[in-house]
Amino acid sequence: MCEWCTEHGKGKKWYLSVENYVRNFSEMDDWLKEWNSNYRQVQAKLWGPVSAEMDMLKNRLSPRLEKLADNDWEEGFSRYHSGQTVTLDEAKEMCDVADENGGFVKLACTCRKYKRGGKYVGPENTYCLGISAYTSMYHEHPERIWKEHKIETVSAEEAKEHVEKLSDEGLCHNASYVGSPAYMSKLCSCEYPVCVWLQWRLDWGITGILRKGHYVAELDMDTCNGCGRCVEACHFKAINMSPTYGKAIQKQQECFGCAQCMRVCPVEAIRMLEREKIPTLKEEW
Amino acid sequence: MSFTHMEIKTATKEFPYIGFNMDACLGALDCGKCLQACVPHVLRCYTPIPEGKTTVSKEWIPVATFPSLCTGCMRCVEVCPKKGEKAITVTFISTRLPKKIFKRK
Repeated sequence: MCEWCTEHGKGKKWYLSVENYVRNFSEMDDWLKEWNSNYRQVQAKLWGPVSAEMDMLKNRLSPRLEKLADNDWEEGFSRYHSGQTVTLDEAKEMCDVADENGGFVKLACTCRKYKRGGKYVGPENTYCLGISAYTSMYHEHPERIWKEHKIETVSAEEAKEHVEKLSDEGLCHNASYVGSPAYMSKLCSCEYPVCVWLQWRLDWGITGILRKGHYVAELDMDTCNGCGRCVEACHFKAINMSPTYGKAIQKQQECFGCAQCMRVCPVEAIRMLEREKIPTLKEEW
Repeated sequence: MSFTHMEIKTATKEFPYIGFNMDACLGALDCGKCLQACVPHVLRCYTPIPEGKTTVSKEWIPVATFPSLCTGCMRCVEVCPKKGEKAITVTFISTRLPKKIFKRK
Protein backbone atom coordinates (compact mmCIF):
# COMPACT_ATOMS: atom_id res chain seq x y z
CA MET A 1 0.00 0.00 0.00
CA CYS A 2 1.47 3.32 -0.97
CA GLU A 3 1.08 6.52 1.04
CA TRP A 4 -1.84 7.77 -1.04
CA CYS A 5 -4.16 5.09 0.28
CA THR A 6 -2.99 5.59 3.86
CA GLU A 7 -3.24 9.39 3.65
CA HIS A 8 -6.23 9.87 1.40
CA GLY A 9 -8.18 6.65 1.72
CA LYS A 10 -7.80 5.49 5.34
CA GLY A 11 -6.17 2.26 4.25
CA LYS A 12 -8.59 1.53 1.44
CA LYS A 13 -8.39 2.54 -2.20
CA TRP A 14 -8.29 6.32 -2.20
CA TYR A 15 -10.15 6.67 -5.48
CA LEU A 16 -13.16 4.78 -4.12
CA SER A 17 -13.27 6.67 -0.82
CA VAL A 18 -16.40 8.83 -0.70
CA GLU A 19 -14.64 11.55 1.32
CA ASN A 20 -12.51 12.44 -1.67
CA TYR A 21 -15.62 13.11 -3.75
CA VAL A 22 -17.61 15.28 -1.38
CA ARG A 23 -15.24 18.07 -0.41
CA ASN A 24 -16.83 21.47 -0.44
CA PHE A 25 -15.54 23.44 -3.35
CA SER A 26 -15.83 26.80 -1.56
CA GLU A 27 -13.70 25.45 1.30
CA MET A 28 -11.20 24.31 -1.23
CA ASP A 29 -11.31 27.60 -3.05
CA ASP A 30 -8.46 29.32 -1.18
CA TRP A 31 -6.40 26.29 -1.57
CA LEU A 32 -7.32 26.08 -5.25
CA LYS A 33 -6.21 29.68 -5.70
CA GLU A 34 -2.88 28.77 -4.19
CA TRP A 35 -2.82 25.70 -6.37
CA ASN A 36 -3.59 27.76 -9.42
CA SER A 37 -0.86 30.27 -8.70
CA ASN A 38 1.65 27.63 -7.70
CA TYR A 39 0.62 25.41 -10.51
CA ARG A 40 1.20 28.22 -12.92
CA GLN A 41 4.68 28.60 -11.54
CA VAL A 42 5.24 24.89 -11.60
CA GLN A 43 3.92 24.85 -15.13
CA ALA A 44 6.19 27.63 -16.25
CA LYS A 45 9.12 26.13 -14.40
CA LEU A 46 8.67 22.59 -15.51
CA TRP A 47 7.18 22.89 -18.94
CA GLY A 48 9.13 25.90 -20.02
CA PRO A 49 12.83 25.92 -20.79
CA VAL A 50 13.66 23.96 -17.63
CA SER A 51 11.82 20.92 -18.92
CA ALA A 52 14.39 20.59 -21.67
CA GLU A 53 17.06 20.75 -18.98
CA MET A 54 15.28 18.00 -17.09
CA ASP A 55 15.52 15.94 -20.19
CA MET A 56 19.23 16.61 -20.24
CA LEU A 57 19.37 15.54 -16.60
CA LYS A 58 17.86 12.23 -17.53
CA ASN A 59 20.63 11.96 -20.07
CA ARG A 60 23.15 13.03 -17.40
CA LEU A 61 24.06 16.19 -19.21
CA SER A 62 23.68 18.34 -16.15
CA PRO A 63 24.11 16.63 -12.75
CA ARG A 64 23.72 19.96 -10.97
CA LEU A 65 19.98 19.82 -11.62
CA GLU A 66 19.47 16.70 -9.56
CA LYS A 67 18.57 18.69 -6.46
CA LEU A 68 15.87 20.51 -8.37
CA ALA A 69 14.47 17.21 -9.50
CA ASP A 70 14.36 15.82 -5.97
CA ASN A 71 12.64 18.84 -4.51
CA ASP A 72 10.20 19.86 -7.17
CA TRP A 73 9.15 16.93 -9.22
CA GLU A 74 8.27 13.99 -7.03
CA GLU A 75 6.82 16.02 -4.19
CA GLY A 76 5.32 18.71 -6.35
CA PHE A 77 3.23 16.38 -8.42
CA SER A 78 2.27 14.19 -5.47
CA ARG A 79 1.00 17.29 -3.75
CA TYR A 80 -0.73 19.11 -6.56
CA HIS A 81 -2.00 16.80 -9.20
CA SER A 82 -1.40 13.13 -9.84
CA GLY A 83 -3.13 9.86 -10.50
CA GLN A 84 -3.17 6.11 -10.45
CA THR A 85 -3.99 3.46 -13.01
CA VAL A 86 -7.37 1.76 -12.50
CA THR A 87 -9.04 -1.15 -14.24
CA LEU A 88 -12.33 -0.81 -16.11
CA ASP A 89 -14.28 -2.40 -13.24
CA GLU A 90 -12.78 0.05 -10.78
CA ALA A 91 -13.57 2.89 -13.17
CA LYS A 92 -17.21 1.79 -13.18
CA GLU A 93 -17.19 1.62 -9.36
CA MET A 94 -15.84 5.17 -9.41
CA CYS A 95 -18.74 6.13 -11.67
CA ASP A 96 -21.17 4.72 -9.08
CA VAL A 97 -19.57 6.72 -6.28
CA ALA A 98 -19.37 9.89 -8.38
CA ASP A 99 -23.01 9.59 -9.45
CA GLU A 100 -24.18 10.18 -5.87
CA ASN A 101 -21.62 12.92 -5.30
CA GLY A 102 -21.75 15.59 -7.96
CA GLY A 103 -22.21 13.82 -11.27
CA PHE A 104 -20.17 13.91 -14.42
CA VAL A 105 -19.06 16.16 -17.25
CA LYS A 106 -17.59 14.96 -20.51
CA LEU A 107 -14.88 17.12 -22.01
CA ALA A 108 -12.07 17.19 -24.54
CA CYS A 109 -8.84 15.70 -23.25
CA THR A 110 -6.37 18.15 -21.76
CA CYS A 111 -3.31 16.08 -22.59
CA ARG A 112 -4.26 15.71 -26.23
CA LYS A 113 -4.72 19.43 -26.40
CA TYR A 114 -1.32 19.97 -24.82
CA LYS A 115 0.37 17.53 -27.12
CA ARG A 116 -1.40 18.16 -30.41
CA GLY A 117 -2.77 21.71 -30.25
CA GLY A 118 -6.17 23.12 -31.08
CA LYS A 119 -7.15 20.43 -33.57
CA TYR A 120 -7.85 17.98 -30.77
CA VAL A 121 -10.33 19.91 -28.60
CA GLY A 122 -13.39 19.15 -30.72
CA PRO A 123 -16.43 17.05 -29.72
CA GLU A 124 -14.93 13.92 -31.33
CA ASN A 125 -12.07 14.07 -28.82
CA THR A 126 -14.07 13.94 -25.59
CA TYR A 127 -11.86 11.45 -23.79
CA CYS A 128 -11.84 13.00 -20.32
CA LEU A 129 -14.57 12.35 -17.81
CA GLY A 130 -14.63 15.14 -15.24
CA ILE A 131 -15.88 14.09 -11.82
CA SER A 132 -16.19 15.71 -8.40
CA ALA A 133 -13.79 18.69 -8.43
CA TYR A 134 -14.11 19.29 -12.14
CA THR A 135 -17.91 19.01 -12.08
CA SER A 136 -18.21 21.49 -9.22
CA MET A 137 -15.78 23.82 -10.95
CA TYR A 138 -17.93 23.59 -14.08
CA HIS A 139 -21.11 24.40 -12.16
CA GLU A 140 -19.73 27.03 -9.76
CA HIS A 141 -16.90 28.68 -11.67
CA PRO A 142 -17.49 28.19 -15.38
CA GLU A 143 -15.09 31.04 -16.16
CA ARG A 144 -12.18 28.88 -15.01
CA ILE A 145 -12.78 26.27 -17.68
CA TRP A 146 -10.78 26.78 -20.83
CA LYS A 147 -13.02 28.32 -23.40
CA GLU A 148 -11.93 25.95 -26.16
CA HIS A 149 -13.31 22.94 -24.30
CA LYS A 150 -16.66 21.55 -25.31
CA ILE A 151 -18.29 20.34 -22.13
CA GLU A 152 -21.54 18.42 -21.62
CA THR A 153 -23.13 16.90 -18.54
CA VAL A 154 -23.82 13.17 -18.71
CA SER A 155 -25.67 10.64 -16.57
CA ALA A 156 -24.06 7.69 -14.79
CA GLU A 157 -25.16 5.22 -17.46
CA GLU A 158 -23.80 7.41 -20.24
CA ALA A 159 -20.55 7.83 -18.32
CA LYS A 160 -20.15 4.07 -17.91
CA GLU A 161 -20.92 3.50 -21.59
CA HIS A 162 -18.42 6.21 -22.49
CA VAL A 163 -15.69 4.61 -20.37
CA GLU A 164 -16.40 1.15 -21.73
CA LYS A 165 -16.38 2.40 -25.31
CA LEU A 166 -12.99 4.01 -24.81
CA SER A 167 -11.74 0.85 -23.15
CA ASP A 168 -12.83 -1.13 -26.21
CA GLU A 169 -10.89 1.30 -28.36
CA GLY A 170 -7.80 0.30 -26.40
CA LEU A 171 -7.25 3.14 -23.97
CA CYS A 172 -6.32 2.55 -20.35
CA HIS A 173 -7.88 4.43 -17.44
CA ASN A 174 -6.33 6.57 -14.75
CA ALA A 175 -7.98 8.17 -11.73
CA SER A 176 -6.65 11.62 -10.98
CA TYR A 177 -6.88 13.99 -8.04
CA VAL A 178 -5.99 17.57 -7.25
CA GLY A 179 -4.91 18.93 -3.90
CA SER A 180 -3.16 17.69 -0.79
CA PRO A 181 -6.30 16.37 0.79
CA ALA A 182 -7.11 14.48 -2.37
CA TYR A 183 -10.06 15.82 -4.36
CA MET A 184 -11.06 13.62 -7.27
CA SER A 185 -10.91 15.51 -10.54
CA LYS A 186 -10.94 13.27 -13.59
CA LEU A 187 -11.21 9.78 -14.92
CA CYS A 188 -8.75 9.74 -17.79
CA SER A 189 -8.53 7.50 -20.82
CA CYS A 190 -4.88 7.45 -21.72
CA GLU A 191 -2.39 6.09 -24.18
CA TYR A 192 1.33 6.44 -24.66
CA PRO A 193 2.79 8.86 -25.78
CA VAL A 194 -0.03 11.37 -26.18
CA CYS A 195 -0.89 11.28 -22.48
CA VAL A 196 1.46 13.58 -20.59
CA TRP A 197 1.49 11.46 -17.43
CA LEU A 198 2.33 8.21 -19.16
CA GLN A 199 5.13 9.79 -21.10
CA TRP A 200 6.60 11.47 -18.04
CA ARG A 201 6.37 8.33 -15.95
CA LEU A 202 7.74 6.02 -18.60
CA ASP A 203 10.38 8.27 -20.13
CA TRP A 204 11.48 10.24 -17.09
CA GLY A 205 10.53 7.83 -14.31
CA ILE A 206 8.68 10.36 -12.17
CA THR A 207 6.69 8.10 -9.83
CA GLY A 208 4.91 11.04 -8.20
CA ILE A 209 2.90 11.82 -11.32
CA LEU A 210 1.34 8.43 -12.03
CA ARG A 211 1.27 5.41 -9.75
CA LYS A 212 0.82 1.79 -10.70
CA GLY A 213 -2.59 0.29 -10.02
CA HIS A 214 -3.75 -2.19 -7.41
CA TYR A 215 -3.59 -5.14 -9.78
CA VAL A 216 -0.90 -6.98 -11.69
CA ALA A 217 -1.51 -9.09 -14.78
CA GLU A 218 -0.41 -12.70 -14.81
CA LEU A 219 0.04 -14.45 -18.14
CA ASP A 220 -0.40 -18.19 -18.32
CA MET A 221 1.94 -19.27 -21.11
CA ASP A 222 0.39 -22.74 -21.38
CA THR A 223 -2.97 -21.28 -22.34
CA CYS A 224 -1.57 -18.49 -24.55
CA ASN A 225 -2.10 -19.06 -28.27
CA GLY A 226 0.29 -16.37 -29.44
CA CYS A 227 -2.20 -14.06 -31.17
CA GLY A 228 -0.35 -10.96 -29.94
CA ARG A 229 -3.39 -8.85 -29.11
CA CYS A 230 -2.18 -8.22 -25.57
CA VAL A 231 1.08 -6.82 -26.94
CA GLU A 232 -0.88 -4.29 -28.98
CA ALA A 233 -3.10 -3.47 -26.01
CA CYS A 234 -0.29 -2.80 -23.52
CA HIS A 235 0.67 0.88 -23.20
CA PHE A 236 3.47 0.21 -20.74
CA LYS A 237 5.73 -2.09 -22.80
CA ALA A 238 5.20 -4.90 -20.28
CA ILE A 239 4.37 -7.66 -22.78
CA ASN A 240 6.43 -8.81 -25.76
CA MET A 241 6.08 -11.57 -28.32
CA SER A 242 8.75 -14.20 -27.86
CA PRO A 243 9.94 -15.81 -31.11
CA THR A 244 11.43 -18.71 -29.12
CA TYR A 245 8.15 -19.78 -27.59
CA GLY A 246 5.85 -18.35 -30.24
CA LYS A 247 3.84 -16.86 -27.38
CA ALA A 248 3.55 -13.67 -25.42
CA ILE A 249 5.97 -13.15 -22.56
CA GLN A 250 5.48 -10.54 -19.88
CA LYS A 251 7.54 -8.53 -17.44
CA GLN A 252 5.47 -8.14 -14.31
CA GLN A 253 7.67 -5.41 -12.88
CA GLU A 254 6.59 -3.12 -15.71
CA CYS A 255 2.87 -3.89 -15.38
CA PHE A 256 0.62 -1.02 -14.31
CA GLY A 257 -2.47 -3.17 -13.90
CA CYS A 258 -4.82 -1.48 -16.38
CA ALA A 259 -6.27 -4.92 -17.34
CA GLN A 260 -6.47 -4.04 -21.05
CA CYS A 261 -4.52 -7.20 -21.95
CA MET A 262 -7.02 -9.30 -20.00
CA ARG A 263 -9.93 -7.71 -21.86
CA VAL A 264 -8.56 -8.42 -25.34
CA CYS A 265 -7.29 -11.96 -24.68
CA PRO A 266 -9.48 -14.45 -26.66
CA VAL A 267 -8.43 -17.56 -24.66
CA GLU A 268 -8.49 -16.05 -21.15
CA ALA A 269 -4.79 -16.66 -20.56
CA ILE A 270 -4.40 -13.47 -18.52
CA ARG A 271 -5.82 -12.89 -15.07
CA MET A 272 -5.37 -10.02 -12.67
CA LEU A 273 -3.73 -10.57 -9.28
CA GLU A 274 -3.86 -8.21 -6.36
CA ARG A 275 -0.59 -6.38 -5.98
CA GLU A 276 -0.71 -6.66 -2.18
CA LYS A 277 -0.43 -10.42 -2.38
CA ILE A 278 2.72 -10.51 -4.50
CA PRO A 279 5.70 -10.13 -2.13
CA THR A 280 8.16 -8.66 -4.62
CA LEU A 281 5.72 -6.26 -6.21
CA LYS A 282 3.67 -5.01 -3.28
CA GLU A 283 5.96 -2.01 -2.72
CA GLU A 284 6.20 -1.21 -6.45
CA TRP A 285 4.03 1.77 -7.20
CA MET B 1 36.67 -12.45 -15.71
CA SER B 2 36.68 -9.53 -13.34
CA PHE B 3 36.94 -5.79 -13.58
CA THR B 4 39.54 -3.85 -11.68
CA HIS B 5 38.21 -0.35 -11.79
CA MET B 6 35.73 1.87 -13.46
CA GLU B 7 36.53 5.13 -15.18
CA ILE B 8 34.11 7.83 -16.05
CA LYS B 9 35.02 9.63 -19.23
CA THR B 10 33.04 11.97 -21.34
CA ALA B 11 31.91 11.18 -24.84
CA THR B 12 30.48 13.71 -27.23
CA LYS B 13 26.98 13.25 -28.53
CA GLU B 14 24.84 15.28 -30.88
CA PHE B 15 21.95 16.61 -28.81
CA PRO B 16 19.06 18.38 -30.52
CA TYR B 17 18.34 21.97 -29.61
CA ILE B 18 14.83 23.03 -30.59
CA GLY B 19 14.41 26.78 -30.74
CA PHE B 20 11.35 28.94 -31.38
CA ASN B 21 11.07 32.42 -32.82
CA MET B 22 8.05 33.58 -30.85
CA ASP B 23 7.54 36.74 -32.91
CA ALA B 24 7.03 34.66 -36.04
CA CYS B 25 4.98 31.90 -34.34
CA LEU B 26 1.24 31.95 -34.93
CA GLY B 27 0.42 30.32 -31.59
CA ALA B 28 0.15 26.69 -30.66
CA LEU B 29 -3.65 26.45 -30.50
CA ASP B 30 -4.41 28.44 -33.65
CA CYS B 31 -1.78 26.79 -35.81
CA GLY B 32 -0.13 23.89 -33.98
CA LYS B 33 1.16 22.26 -37.17
CA CYS B 34 4.56 21.52 -35.63
CA LEU B 35 2.91 19.78 -32.66
CA GLN B 36 0.81 17.58 -34.91
CA ALA B 37 3.77 16.72 -37.14
CA CYS B 38 5.97 15.49 -34.28
CA VAL B 39 5.89 11.69 -34.20
CA PRO B 40 7.69 11.05 -30.87
CA HIS B 41 5.63 13.78 -29.14
CA VAL B 42 8.60 15.92 -28.22
CA LEU B 43 6.70 19.19 -28.54
CA ARG B 44 3.80 20.36 -26.45
CA CYS B 45 2.06 23.65 -25.83
CA TYR B 46 1.75 25.54 -22.58
CA THR B 47 0.54 28.88 -21.27
CA PRO B 48 3.10 31.31 -19.96
CA ILE B 49 2.40 33.14 -16.69
CA PRO B 50 0.05 36.07 -17.47
CA GLU B 51 1.75 38.74 -15.40
CA GLY B 52 5.13 37.14 -15.08
CA LYS B 53 8.46 38.12 -16.46
CA THR B 54 7.92 36.83 -19.91
CA THR B 55 8.44 38.43 -23.26
CA VAL B 56 5.88 36.16 -24.90
CA SER B 57 2.54 37.70 -25.76
CA LYS B 58 0.88 34.57 -27.15
CA GLU B 59 -1.63 32.68 -25.05
CA TRP B 60 -0.42 29.22 -26.01
CA ILE B 61 3.13 28.67 -27.14
CA PRO B 62 4.93 25.51 -28.27
CA VAL B 63 7.81 24.20 -26.16
CA ALA B 64 10.11 21.21 -26.50
CA THR B 65 9.69 18.91 -23.52
CA PHE B 66 11.61 15.82 -24.58
CA PRO B 67 14.55 16.87 -26.77
CA SER B 68 16.24 13.54 -26.14
CA LEU B 69 13.42 11.76 -27.97
CA CYS B 70 13.89 13.98 -31.03
CA THR B 71 15.15 12.08 -34.04
CA GLY B 72 15.92 15.12 -36.17
CA CYS B 73 13.42 14.28 -38.91
CA MET B 74 12.78 18.03 -39.46
CA ARG B 75 9.05 17.52 -40.14
CA CYS B 76 8.17 20.30 -37.70
CA VAL B 77 10.37 22.73 -39.64
CA GLU B 78 8.90 21.65 -42.99
CA VAL B 79 5.27 22.11 -41.96
CA CYS B 80 5.79 25.54 -40.40
CA PRO B 81 3.59 27.88 -42.48
CA LYS B 82 5.88 30.86 -41.97
CA LYS B 83 7.49 31.91 -45.24
CA GLY B 84 11.21 32.53 -45.35
CA GLU B 85 12.73 32.11 -41.92
CA LYS B 86 10.75 29.48 -40.04
CA ALA B 87 9.43 29.98 -36.52
CA ILE B 88 10.96 26.69 -35.36
CA THR B 89 14.56 25.61 -35.77
CA VAL B 90 16.25 22.33 -34.93
CA THR B 91 20.00 22.47 -34.55
CA PHE B 92 22.35 19.85 -33.24
CA ILE B 93 24.91 20.78 -30.65
CA SER B 94 27.76 18.56 -29.57
CA THR B 95 27.40 17.89 -25.88
CA ARG B 96 29.61 15.92 -23.58
CA LEU B 97 28.02 12.92 -21.92
CA PRO B 98 29.57 10.91 -19.11
CA LYS B 99 30.37 7.41 -20.23
CA LYS B 100 31.34 4.58 -17.92
CA ILE B 101 34.28 2.51 -19.05
CA PHE B 102 35.08 -0.79 -17.38
CA LYS B 103 38.64 -2.03 -17.62
CA ARG B 104 39.52 -5.66 -17.49
CA LYS B 105 42.29 -7.13 -15.37
